[in-house]
Amino acid sequence: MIQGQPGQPDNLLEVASLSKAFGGLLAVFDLDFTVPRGIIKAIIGPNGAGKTTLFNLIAGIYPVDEGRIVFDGRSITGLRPHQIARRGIARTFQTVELFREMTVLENVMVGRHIRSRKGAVSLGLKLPGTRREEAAIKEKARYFLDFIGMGRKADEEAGSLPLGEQKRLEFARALAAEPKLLLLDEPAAGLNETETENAARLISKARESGVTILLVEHDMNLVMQISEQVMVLNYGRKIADDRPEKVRNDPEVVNAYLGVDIGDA
Amino acid sequence: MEKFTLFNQVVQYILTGITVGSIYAIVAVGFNIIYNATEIINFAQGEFVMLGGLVMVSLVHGAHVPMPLAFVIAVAAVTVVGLLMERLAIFPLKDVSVIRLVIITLAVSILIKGLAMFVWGKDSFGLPAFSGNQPLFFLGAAVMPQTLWIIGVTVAVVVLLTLFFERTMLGKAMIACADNRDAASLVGIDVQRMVMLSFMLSAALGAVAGIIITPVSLMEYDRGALLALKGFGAAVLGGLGNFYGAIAAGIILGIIESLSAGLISSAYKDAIALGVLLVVLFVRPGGLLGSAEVIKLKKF
Amino acid sequence: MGRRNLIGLSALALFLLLFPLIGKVPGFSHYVAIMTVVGLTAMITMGLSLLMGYAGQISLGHAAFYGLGAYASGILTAKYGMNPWPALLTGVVLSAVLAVVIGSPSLKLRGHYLAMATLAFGEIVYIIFNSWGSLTSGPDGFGDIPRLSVFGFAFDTALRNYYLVWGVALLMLVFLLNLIHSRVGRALRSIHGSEAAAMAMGVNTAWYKIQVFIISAVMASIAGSLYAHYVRFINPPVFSLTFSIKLLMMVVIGGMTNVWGAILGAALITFLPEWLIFLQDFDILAYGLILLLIAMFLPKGLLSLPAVAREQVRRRSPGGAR
Repeated sequence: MIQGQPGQPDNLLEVASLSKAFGGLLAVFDLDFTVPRGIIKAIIGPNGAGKTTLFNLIAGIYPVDEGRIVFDGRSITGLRPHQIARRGIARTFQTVELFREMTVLENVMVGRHIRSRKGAVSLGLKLPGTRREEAAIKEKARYFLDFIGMGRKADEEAGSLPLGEQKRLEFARALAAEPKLLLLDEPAAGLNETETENAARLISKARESGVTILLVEHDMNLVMQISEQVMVLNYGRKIADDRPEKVRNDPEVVNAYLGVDIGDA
Repeated sequence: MEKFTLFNQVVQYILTGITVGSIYAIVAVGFNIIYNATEIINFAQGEFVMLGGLVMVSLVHGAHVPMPLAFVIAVAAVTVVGLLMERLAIFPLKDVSVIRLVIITLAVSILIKGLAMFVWGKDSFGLPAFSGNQPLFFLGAAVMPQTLWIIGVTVAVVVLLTLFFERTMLGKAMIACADNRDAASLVGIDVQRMVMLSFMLSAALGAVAGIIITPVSLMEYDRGALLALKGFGAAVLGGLGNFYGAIAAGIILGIIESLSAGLISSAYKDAIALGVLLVVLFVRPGGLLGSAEVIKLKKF
Repeated sequence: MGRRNLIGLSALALFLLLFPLIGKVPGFSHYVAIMTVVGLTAMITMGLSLLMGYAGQISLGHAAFYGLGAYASGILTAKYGMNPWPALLTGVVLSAVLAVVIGSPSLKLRGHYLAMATLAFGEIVYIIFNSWGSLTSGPDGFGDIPRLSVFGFAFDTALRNYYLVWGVALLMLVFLLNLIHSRVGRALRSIHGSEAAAMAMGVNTAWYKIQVFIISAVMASIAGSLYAHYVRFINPPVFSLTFSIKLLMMVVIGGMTNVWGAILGAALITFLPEWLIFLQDFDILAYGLILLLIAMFLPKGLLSLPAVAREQVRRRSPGGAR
């Protein structure tokens, strides 16, 4: 799928001096980090550390107070969410944001939105080419639905699925956009052990197909298992950014979690 | 005899503006009270005004009830209407989307308007001025006594409401409810009862406005919509939910409308007033005294 | 567009084709005229249902676009002798432009604010119709609006107008059905489902909302132009707030997220005075009551009645409790 071409920067995402405050509350402060192309990187930290804020900043939901975000060599600071999606960043949400009244397949088909082009007038008039594009959208959507193993549920109403499948569906929808970077906001939240295992497998599978992954997560087993880099935030600042083994033994990190042993979730 | 100069004219317009503006102010306060308690914009607010005027007309002309008594009965009657509206159309529903709420209050307003048309027909009705028709003169402009009544009643309403919200337990409970519903219910305030009271209070206020304006501008069954729009405009202009803002904004809106009518064109005065509403909504939905941030944060 | 829609479309077309036969039955000769009005109204409600059901926006001022189309066509043809078709186009362009001017800031507003803004807009346009006497002839209205004609074929009988109106309405229906079952339709439904997720999937929600607003305004404008050439006389009361609210009612009653519901709603409300003649002065009352009951108990409109009924039966059956 998406491969780094020669001449492209090694770092898919670069964040420099990023700061964001809400009223008097500093959510993220002077954050610098990079996400190399093709890896799985995790962001962890105690509650309130600024992880979801960081995601929302990258995704364009909050405007940046200070700093820059550079994606694939081009600045995305200040762009709106749909523009950022078009640049190649897809995301899932902490509270699963599915289109509940649409079918499972239709949800994934929306993921193909930026990969298709026909506009209202052509589609309303059913001009030549529209049928072909629609078939292509459907086919690709089915592909991604099979990727996560939910092909048989294509025509069910998305809102009727249990949580685990809803999260998988959201994952497929994001993948269907064929993004370069995938932001996963707490993919394992609310999942049991088996479901978390499956999630880990799917995330790795996605990475193998060429998608770079940045995830926020609390489940330490999952994080340690699949990530190549782990960044730790505390009170909006970066306190560690290294390989998982190094991070788990970092005294400052252990301290930040105040006695919670990183070994068990 | 003094010459009727432009100055005199402007004073006249301003006085008229303060008069109509007082009505808009009261309607705006009515909107705010319900909005503060429930985050609902009550599209039927204008109908309360209309009902107040028409019920008063029936009592005074039809049943020959003396004015002061009729005033009380009319206000009470419309308050009951407000109560019924809340109990029957608002209270039974949970988790209603904004569109549905808009449609429901709109439907109630249509229903009330239909009832009014059935009872009173399409004619306009008037009331005798509270204390006669001899104009007084102020800065060269003629002031009808009714104008003084309108301004006086408005001031009384403001004072009474201020006392109510700041000095009585009930009033303070309503403010607590508006400020933070969950916290209010946690300290034992019956939120549902506050919602009910807010509708009753708004209905009463609307009725008062309708009664005091009818001697001046008559009342008919379909006056509600335009009044509601302008009252809402005032509420938004003053910052939705802001009590004093609504009063000030209502007066300002009334003056703008009256000056436009006098100096520009009386045919388009309503269009101009509504144009002001649109501009406010587009440019600064938080109103002159509110803030844009508040609007974004309000969960609509 | 899906097989069900295709079947529905064919059935509707057949029904409309044969409907004028009712006009031959004594006592029902005016039904064709009423049905023509239903067709015009359906053009507006179909667009409105797209706006309300999919974009999730509310408009209480759509009668204004209907009026703009009617007055543009009427004034340009009757008073300035312009050919009807460019006049219609002028109305369309005018409505589209206004839709952008009013829509762009309005669609950023939420819920109640938007409702009020569209209401205010509708009222302002109505006041202009009433007050700009030199252009619109004010409250008296004006007549002598010419009939439409294509290559010499004049639409000068009731029957010809009926078929013209419904021909256009069906074309619009086809357009909308195609749209709804397309990438754009899904994008619109996604906005309705979760705006945040829609944006994250690259859907430019603001742009789509405005597009829908423009489409609905244009449809209303075309309907207005056809109305002017059909009735040949226009005056302001047709385009008042009352009509805007009736339009809203039609969409709600039929079912907001359903284009078919919009047509059903238009038919029901337009025929209602006919069937409830005994309700002469109660009509506003009836409208308010119907709207209230539907909004309270059947929020998805009459077309959802079978589904809701099924759910109620399921809940009350022995094994059906959740």
